[in-house]
Amino acid sequence: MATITAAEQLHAIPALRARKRIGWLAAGVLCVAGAAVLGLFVGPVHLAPVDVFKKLISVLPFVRDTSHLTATQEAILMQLRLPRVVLAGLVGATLSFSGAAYQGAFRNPLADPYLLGAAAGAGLGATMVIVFTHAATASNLIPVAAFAGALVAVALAYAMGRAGGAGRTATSLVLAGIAVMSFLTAVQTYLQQRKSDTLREVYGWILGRLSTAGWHDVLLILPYITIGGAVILAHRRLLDVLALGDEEADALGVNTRRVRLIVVIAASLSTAAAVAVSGLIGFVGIIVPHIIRLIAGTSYRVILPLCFAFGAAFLILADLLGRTMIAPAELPIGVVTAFFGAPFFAIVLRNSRKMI
Amino acid sequence: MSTIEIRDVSVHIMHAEILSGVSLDVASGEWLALIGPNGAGKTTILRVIAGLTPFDGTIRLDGADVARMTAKQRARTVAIVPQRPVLPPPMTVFEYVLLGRTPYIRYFDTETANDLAVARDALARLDIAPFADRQLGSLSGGEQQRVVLARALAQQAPILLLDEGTSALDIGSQQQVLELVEDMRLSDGFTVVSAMHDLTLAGQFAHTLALISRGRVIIVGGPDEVLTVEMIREHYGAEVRVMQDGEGLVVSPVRAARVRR
Repeated sequence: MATITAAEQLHAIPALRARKRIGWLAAGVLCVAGAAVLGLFVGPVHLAPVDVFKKLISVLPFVRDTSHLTATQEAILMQLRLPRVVLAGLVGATLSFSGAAYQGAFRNPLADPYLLGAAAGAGLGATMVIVFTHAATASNLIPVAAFAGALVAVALAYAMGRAGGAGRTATSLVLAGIAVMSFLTAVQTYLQQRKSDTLREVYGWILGRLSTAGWHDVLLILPYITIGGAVILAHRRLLDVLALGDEEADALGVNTRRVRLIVVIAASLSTAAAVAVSGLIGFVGIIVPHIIRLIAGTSYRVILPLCFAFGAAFLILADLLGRTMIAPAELPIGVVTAFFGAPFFAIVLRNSRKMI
Repeated sequence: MSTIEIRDVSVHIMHAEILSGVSLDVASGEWLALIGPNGAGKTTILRVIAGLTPFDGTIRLDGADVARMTAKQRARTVAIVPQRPVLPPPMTVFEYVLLGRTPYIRYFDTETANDLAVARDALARLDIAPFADRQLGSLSGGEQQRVVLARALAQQAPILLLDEGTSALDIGSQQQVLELVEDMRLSDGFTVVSAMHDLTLAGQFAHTLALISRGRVIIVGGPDEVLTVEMIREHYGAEVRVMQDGEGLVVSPVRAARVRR
């Protein structure tokens, strides 16, 4: 029997890792595709899979539409289910890669995309619109107010975190984020209580929803998510270096403050765009990156690309459950992500022998 | 091969004077051990050489002013093994050693085949190739120390700074690590500056010792000049015997009561 020397074993490692990475990416793409197919087919109105497929490929140039969908079926597919699946995928991917980026930038496994107050800021923005404007204008203004609120909150936390003496450390930023989050949540609760007739609407937004998803939402967030995602992905190697702590990363020639600032801006911009159209969907930004860590490794070169795929698949499936479990009513998607995500995470955690 | 010139360096942190007018020279390929009691300023000297702490004065590495170097240039010149290195438990040994190549990779780039080859070579030279794929959290203290040295080796910086890296290790592992550093120094021509607590090991491995106390350099010289009973009593407040054996000096603590009797 041929024996493998230590040197040969060592030589094989990078190739082996690359093969594993490609394998996981392929699995992720298959997962998204599978989740999207389910999201498009399952619903109160039956759509023939062949017709759905024909209709979808007909949007490509030079492909004729040979599907036999009625006008109503076509509207259900192209104006209701497809934008909803695409939006769920985009929001899921965004919350997942932003969560992973925050965890890397702050070296904190409990970090999520709402760490620096993005959720509280968005919540306050949306609540202000619901409380102070007429219902007719509110639906148009909520995304803008939520987006602005999230960004203002993160900017406040960052400014406050840097203002202190030791303000450049990740810990002081996290603490500033907690302060901003608590303050904005208090203001939001106060406003909500002052006008208790809007309680249901505010609460509905806070628990997250994709029920009103349309192409305009997709187009609204796509630029932010594309840019934010690209910037974070470009920093995947540097996020691995940050795992050594600021001091050792600095000693390796990395400007840790600059890297952290860029990553946080990109993640916050993407998160703000996502919450603007979907409300506050919790848990995705923590659970998806950690499941990926447990099954595929801890390097951000693996985690970030897989977050796009598995985060998208996770939220498409969560949305599918939310709209089918108690149909015709809908469960808020934030409830579904926590209700099914937490036990699933517990199982993965229990069965994994890897450290995270 | 690289020389280090430290001229009149002072460090103040929160109005406290940590270093005061420190001047030291380390010749190319030499091993300088910084000794002194806890809080003397040994670690701060290493940190200013590595550019991690702001200072007044001048430090030149091979003639180049460290204050004018970019972070990357500095990281290509100086590798530091900290007192308590951060070893993320889930990271694999190979991933960790590969991080030593960071100063050579452009912002958005990734490792080249050469970077992978250098990291592999570092693993092989420190005999840790068989556990390249193991997680850092599963290694013993001695193995972890080798892995940290391998990362410093992969950094290919001519100056190696060691901050009491061996103090938590058992006597065998301590010796092995220092022998590895000596091998690296001899084969690659590293200039080594190490902060050390074990005076016997400091005397046996380093060419020159600098006794640091309260942020000042007290004496610089060979082990015979620096490791004297009087010096150690005055600056460490310790009673010791200093004995000569075939390999060098042995500094052995003695109970103060017995000495007085």
